[in-house]
Amino acid sequence: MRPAGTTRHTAPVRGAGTLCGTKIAAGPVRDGGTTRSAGSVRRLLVWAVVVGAAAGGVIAVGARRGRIGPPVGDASGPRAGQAGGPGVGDASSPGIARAGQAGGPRVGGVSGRRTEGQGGWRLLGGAGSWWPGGAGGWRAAGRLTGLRVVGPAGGALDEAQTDFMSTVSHELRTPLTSISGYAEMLRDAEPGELSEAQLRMVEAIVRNARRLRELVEDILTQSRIESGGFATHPAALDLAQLVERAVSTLEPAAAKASVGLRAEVSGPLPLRGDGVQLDRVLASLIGNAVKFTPAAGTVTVRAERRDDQAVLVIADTGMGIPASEQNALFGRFFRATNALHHAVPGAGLGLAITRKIVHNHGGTIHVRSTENVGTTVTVRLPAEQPKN
Amino acid sequence: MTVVLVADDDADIRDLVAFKLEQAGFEVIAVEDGQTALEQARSRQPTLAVLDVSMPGLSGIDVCRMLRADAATAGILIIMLTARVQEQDVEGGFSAGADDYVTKPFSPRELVSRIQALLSRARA
Repeated sequence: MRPAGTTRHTAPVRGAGTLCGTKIAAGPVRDGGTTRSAGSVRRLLVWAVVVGAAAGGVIAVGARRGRIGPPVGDASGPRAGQAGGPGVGDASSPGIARAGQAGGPRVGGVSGRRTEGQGGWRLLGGAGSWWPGGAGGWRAAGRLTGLRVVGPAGGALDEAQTDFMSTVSHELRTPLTSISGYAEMLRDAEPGELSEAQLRMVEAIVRNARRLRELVEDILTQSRIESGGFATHPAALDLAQLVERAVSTLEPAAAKASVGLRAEVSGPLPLRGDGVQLDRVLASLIGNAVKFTPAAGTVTVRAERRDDQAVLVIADTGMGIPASEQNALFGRFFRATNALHHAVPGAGLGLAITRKIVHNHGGTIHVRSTENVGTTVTVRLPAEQPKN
Repeated sequence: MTVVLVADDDADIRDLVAFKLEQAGFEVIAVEDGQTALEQARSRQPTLAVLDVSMPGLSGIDVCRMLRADAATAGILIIMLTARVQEQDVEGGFSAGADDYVTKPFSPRELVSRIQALLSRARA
């Protein structure tokens, strides 16, 4: 239930730097009179909150586990815990809310679910949303994503953003290292032999630690994309070569699943693009095709030049996507009901990232699919003139 | 026995690496911060050091740079451990003088292989 007066804002706010649509600036955080160094602030990282920028200033709400601290920076903004300030909200609300125009704070956020900690807000890395409350203040709900920031808007912020992602990455990977490390040592009988049952359980831990690791990678990439930190480094490439390499990399997995995988490439197909990102697109699309195709099915990858475009077509004879769900396909976290039904693993992040990369390259991506018959994905990218 | 210094502020990771290395026949000095790593490197003269990049206080990269700058410790082989995967972190490690780089989460077996590879390359 969204309170009346909330504005849905879907384009990121552009400025010297943005994170979740919020203008940010970097610097030491003043938290109720105490100046925190960037290092100690980083430790609180996942628990902090960023609120939007008032005209010429930045409001940041520093938070500790289970509590919201006072806002820092612009003193004219609403204060946490005070009437109308960021605090207890009534309903979770997806989307980004924007303040009234006249000098009010702009806020960023995405959807989330409200969680309450000890007497206040439990803040987690993730998302929340804000909307205008009564008396010119703010109400907030959901999990709020954080980055501590301070100082006048327009200050350096790419560093703050990169630092944020870098720290999140570290925070997530560190426990993962121990989980998978110890599980592997148990599995390899290093502290001693395991019983059959114990071994199977440990193998489950190893497998799931690996899945978690992949999810972390995808989520971090998605965040980088959303915050604009996903830079493209273009170079002269040959799509034909990229496709052949991607297919040969995925051949073992396809063979194991008894899915026929073949490439029909008429190259060369010169274009300008980021090789690393295009590799990712190919791995994601071809990998999906193989994953969603049952044994004895086939996946055909065709790449050719049509006029001034390099066209890539990935056609499979797999489970397809129900017609009613095809529009939602590129949404973050989308998982088709038949994929869920058949327990095909995945977080559903790959296509959102894929489309972003294709668009960054000036291309288009389309999907045609019939349930239980197959899916065809067509990617068109602007081609370069071949050098003669 | 070859002596290996391991520095990581996370106790579980420190124990994990120490266990694995001792299993593989190394003598391990495990420390939790950069300053102690420097002190131990100078006094115990390990053959190789495994340094976590992101430790509070002196980072692994600082320690690496300082080891290289001191003639007494400049010859220690250095592997950086890190969860930070931006390009500049990798470059930072190598330009500080590291010999190799492992990203978390890593397989302990892989770390041992890399260490053994470095050691045999150095002996050759």
